[in-house]
Amino acid sequence: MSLEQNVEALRYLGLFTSLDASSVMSTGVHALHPEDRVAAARTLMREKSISGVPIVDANFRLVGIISVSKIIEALADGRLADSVDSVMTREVISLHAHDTFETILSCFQRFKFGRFPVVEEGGKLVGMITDTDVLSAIIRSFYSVYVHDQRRTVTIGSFSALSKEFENSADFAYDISSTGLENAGEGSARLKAFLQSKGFGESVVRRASVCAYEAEINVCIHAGGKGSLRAIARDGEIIVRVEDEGPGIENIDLAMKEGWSTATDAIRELGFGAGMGLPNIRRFSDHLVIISGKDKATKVEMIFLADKE
Amino acid sequence: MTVHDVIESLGAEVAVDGDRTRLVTSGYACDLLSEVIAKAAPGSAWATIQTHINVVAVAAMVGISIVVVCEGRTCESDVVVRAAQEHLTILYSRDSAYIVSGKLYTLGLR
Repeated sequence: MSLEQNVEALRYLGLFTSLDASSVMSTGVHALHPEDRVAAARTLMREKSISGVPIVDANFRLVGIISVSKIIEALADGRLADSVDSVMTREVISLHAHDTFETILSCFQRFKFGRFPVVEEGGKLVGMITDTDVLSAIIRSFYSVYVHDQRRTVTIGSFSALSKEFENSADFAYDISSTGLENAGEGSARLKAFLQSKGFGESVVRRASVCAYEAEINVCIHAGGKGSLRAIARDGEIIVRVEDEGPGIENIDLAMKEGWSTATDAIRELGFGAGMGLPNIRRFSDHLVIISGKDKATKVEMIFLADKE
Repeated sequence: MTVHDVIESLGAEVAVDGDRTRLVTSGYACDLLSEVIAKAAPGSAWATIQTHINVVAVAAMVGISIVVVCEGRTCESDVVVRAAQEHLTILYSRDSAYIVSGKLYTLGLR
């Protein structure tokens, strides 16, 4: 997969949309001033195990960068006592604090440097991003992704956890819009009728509609009743996607545990919030992908195979 | 047996007179809707103390044949209207879910 394809996949999945340069960068940054000696840069690199030092003016504005190769050149020319100003690279490729994750990846691909300084308005240096920072950010993001099948590994390899088909069309679509719990379940009831009309067997229809019901109830209980329920039903396979705009699932591993719920007592008295919603979905679906996180949108995708019965 | 047979045998008040010809093949008693939706079999008689609109949604989803609302509780009118639309029979019983379950069991529902 080319980097362009990877970036395209990222954009499609929306997996790392919340990651901008300011959340990826390291902030414990060491910098030097133009008048510092080259020898000081060499010492700093050795002591901190870094391969490049940003150079800033008195107002911490980025004015240059000095890399290991520049130090080696200066060493060969016997210029260690000269000022950093005389050997540093002035044309610095830097990132802005608000740059997207896609921009960051593109930068690494295009310029082949090991690190990029991050600046905010006015050119003030606020951090550095190395390839290690990028990797760490990706791994942190995956704490909020739950994939309940063998695709867990595939996901990390190629970012293909969710079905692409929903991009263009769905065979069934229902806008979840419920102020209380009055209309809760309406969408899954319609989905059930739709699947029956498509000629799917009783058992797979039941599994799909039960899971859709649980996911729809979750939208009503936890996400203000606003969301969407869509399905693609063809070739003996039913794919159901339920999405909302948050507040998201803070800890998906906990939410997958039977009996764990954040629902209020009032909700529980109505027989909901027993902590069985997601466990039921896991039990009845053949494949399950949940993408969520604190203060994030939630996407629940479930696949049901008719020939599994 | 059919819904009609259960109505006749249980002696409970008929709140919604739905499709009496539906077969009743087993029973289930629970108030947690997720449990019901996961575990009740289609064609069940369902004993519960829940009385709100989602009882009808759950019953429709599972394919419940008859709902017995226990402990003398009653449903709001919107629930009655909705159940009637779905041709779902609802009974009001003064008994507890335990007693209702026992009666259903004795009728032969296993």
